[in-house]
Amino acid sequence: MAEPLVIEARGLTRRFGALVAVDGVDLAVRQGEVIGFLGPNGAGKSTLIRMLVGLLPPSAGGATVLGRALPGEAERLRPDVGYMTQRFSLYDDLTVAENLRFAAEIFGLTGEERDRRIADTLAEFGLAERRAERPATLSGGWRQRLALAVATVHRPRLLVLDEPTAGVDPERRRDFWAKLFELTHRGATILVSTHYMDEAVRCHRVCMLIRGRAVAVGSPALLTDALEGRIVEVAAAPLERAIAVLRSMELAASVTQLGRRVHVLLAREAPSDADAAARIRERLVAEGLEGPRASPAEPNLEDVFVALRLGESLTEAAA
Amino acid sequence: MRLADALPLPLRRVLSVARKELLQLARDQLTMGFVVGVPIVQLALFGYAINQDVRHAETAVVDLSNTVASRTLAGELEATQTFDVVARPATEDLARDLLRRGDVRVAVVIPSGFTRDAYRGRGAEVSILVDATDPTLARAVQASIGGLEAHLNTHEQAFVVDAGDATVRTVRSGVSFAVRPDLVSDAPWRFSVLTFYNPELRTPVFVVPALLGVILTTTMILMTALSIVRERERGTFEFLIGTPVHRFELMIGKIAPYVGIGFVQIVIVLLSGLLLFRVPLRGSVLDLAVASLLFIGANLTLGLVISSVTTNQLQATQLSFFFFLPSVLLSGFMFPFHAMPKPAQWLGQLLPLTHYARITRGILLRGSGLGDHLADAGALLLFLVVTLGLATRLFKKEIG
Repeated sequence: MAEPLVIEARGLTRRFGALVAVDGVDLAVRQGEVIGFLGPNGAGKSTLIRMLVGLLPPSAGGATVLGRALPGEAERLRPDVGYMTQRFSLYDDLTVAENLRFAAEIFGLTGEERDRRIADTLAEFGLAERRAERPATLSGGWRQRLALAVATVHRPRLLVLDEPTAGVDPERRRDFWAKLFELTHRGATILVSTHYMDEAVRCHRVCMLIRGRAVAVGSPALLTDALEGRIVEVAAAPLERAIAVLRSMELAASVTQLGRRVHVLLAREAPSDADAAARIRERLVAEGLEGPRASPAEPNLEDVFVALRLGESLTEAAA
Repeated sequence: MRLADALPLPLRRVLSVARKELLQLARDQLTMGFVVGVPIVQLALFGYAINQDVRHAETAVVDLSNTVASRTLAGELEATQTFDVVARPATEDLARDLLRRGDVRVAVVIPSGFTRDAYRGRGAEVSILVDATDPTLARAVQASIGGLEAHLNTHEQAFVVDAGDATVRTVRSGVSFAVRPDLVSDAPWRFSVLTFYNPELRTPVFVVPALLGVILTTTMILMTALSIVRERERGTFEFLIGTPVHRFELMIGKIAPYVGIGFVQIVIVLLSGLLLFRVPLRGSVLDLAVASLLFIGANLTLGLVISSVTTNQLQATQLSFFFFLPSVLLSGFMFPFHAMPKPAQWLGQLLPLTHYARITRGILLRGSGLGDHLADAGALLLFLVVTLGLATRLFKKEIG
């Protein structure tokens, strides 16, 4: 990728009293990338995002975003950034069109250009027939769509979205992501935080955050390849009992339910994958579970995440 | 619109913020009711309910003189409307009994030598006994009698004008009323000033100009403080600080609409004051507008300061009232400023309402100009500059 760097963070740290919310994060993002911050609540995603858009000064370290040195040049960065907050942050007492107009004007658009841009944005996001409605009366999906419309009305070069799809149904989430990729085709760089694995997989690269540290950064494929931990996929009925049994087995470091299947992360000292799978099967039969199946499987992003949380390491991934 | 588009970016942003603020205000019916309703309710409340005028106090007249002059005097007393003569006991002792039982609240004793003394220029003394358990009544009687005394003395002077120089002088100071100190509070007599500008001593006339400031203080501080803290509470502030709007643009755009609202309130108060209580506007409208602009500015910037140090609407409201109460109590609105203890006066001097109330009383009632109130206007300006400085230091585009 020869695209220019959009974000360059060096040792970005933020403390709140004794709490270290973000701890020495290094990050490089190139133009046109969609980079996802993946981590549980409290991992420091929002704090990191707020530092990167210049809303929060770091306690230590620094970053250059779109050529602006933070925190010093935060205000000069604003015209080029679109920021969609985690909490809906538009005016409930203004209509859809008024919210858009206010944002457009604050970002310096004026006259016919402003009017045209508002009309285009309304059409683009399918909001034209809802222009006179208030956000308070819109459903979650429409509110989130409006928030994205407002965040992009000034055509920012960097779009930063803090858990944009929280509380939005899967159908709308798919639409939303389609929209995001459309925006990257115009050359925008997108930084998005999420705790949905299925969303993280869509990102060009994922930055996994655990307790304020960026424990791994790379494409989803790279991260799953780099996982040293081994996975055995298990199915049996009833599943709840199977899970209880698995959790009692010493070879299982972690047990994660994925729909009707279970992923078992094997402990380091466990026997080879095939042996482990066989032992799991035997145990499930012995416990009287029906239709037990167990076989070594490719890890997915969630397995990586679970492994990292348990202190496992990745081979050469953290780049 | 064309004109607005040609403005430089910072001004356009100020206008955008102000426009947004007005749109929100227009849709907030409760707040709009507050803007219009508060002045009218407060005016009615202070004008009618907390009316300190004393009218028709039950009065006993003991006329020991029983001459044309003494009967005229009794009639003059009733004409002030302060006194209602309900009893005419034969002796002062009987009058005192009535007073003690509470059947009358005032007893007027005209001595037997009244007429003779008056015309001989010895000085005729009429005793007025007031039930001072009600200090308001005592003050009102003193004030009313003061007015009557002045009236009678000038009147009598005309009556005996051709009796020669010496006579004129003695008669002029001839009729005097002595209010018995044992029964009356010894508050200083200030009526000579009051009666001049408010001859009927009507409370509303005195209260309305200061009430203007009281109303502006409540609404202006609270509305700006809340309008910003509300954005923090609802999360829209995080949207705002993520935009390129400069904090000065935000500050000005936020308070600009409230300047307009302040003037709307002034017009409402002045109009209802005129219609309900015949409170005049004797001075220049422009002077009043300039003083009001300073005062509104001072309160709005104070609202900005409050919004910068609070994180939710409850805190902002509490802090506003922390400022609002001393404003009402120490500004001379509730109690006469010079009658307050010195430390209270020093505190009062720090409050913009104190100075604004003096200016509005002057302009509305005495027809004075802003030039007559330079010290007070300067104090308002100083307060404005200080709070503006504080606001620019404290008001930040940061997440609380």
